[in-house]
Amino acid sequence: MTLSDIETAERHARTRSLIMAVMAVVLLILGLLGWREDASSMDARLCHGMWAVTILFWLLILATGGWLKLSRDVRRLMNDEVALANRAAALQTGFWTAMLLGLAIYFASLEWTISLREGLRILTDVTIASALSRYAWLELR
Amino acid sequence: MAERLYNRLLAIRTERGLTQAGLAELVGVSRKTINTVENGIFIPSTLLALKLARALGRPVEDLFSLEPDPQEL
Repeated sequence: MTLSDIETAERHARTRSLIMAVMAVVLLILGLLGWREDASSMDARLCHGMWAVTILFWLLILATGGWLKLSRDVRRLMNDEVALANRAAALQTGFWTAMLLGLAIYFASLEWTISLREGLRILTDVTIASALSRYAWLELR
Repeated sequence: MAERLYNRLLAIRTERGLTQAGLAELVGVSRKTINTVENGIFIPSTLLALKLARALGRPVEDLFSLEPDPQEL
């Protein structure tokens, strides 16, 4: 492990956090304003597919730390003890967001018509956005 | 009871003439990890505490304590 590895890891870790912060905002906008098939001119199946791929991609990043093409040493530095603790805190934030938002959607559905798909989409988008933004905030502070 | 872990990492590191990056390289962690431990933001695992002690050539009790450093009071 060299100084250059440390610098490379720091640069990539910072980029990762900034991308996560931006993605959190994008997911929040899509989740709250509605990324629904009827709100898009795109083919519905393509829209569903893109959404699923996006969610799975960010779940993978949250689970692994991402940047899998980098050398093992650099990845180990990017995912060291502090990064793992930050990731655990981010996943905890995601869990609480999902639980509270789930409750909110449940009661909202008593007043307004919310389709299952719509509810799940809002829940997933906002939950992942909360985990990504918490991770980014902890890493960049 | 709210407890806090005090550390003398910054003092011992500078005494040894090491930068945060230098210590990070010796221990095999990021500079951010050294920085957050020094500032008391992050409480390191036993493994990391032992690695830090070994890299600085001091017993782990010199680096971390449950009481503040008397010199800092």
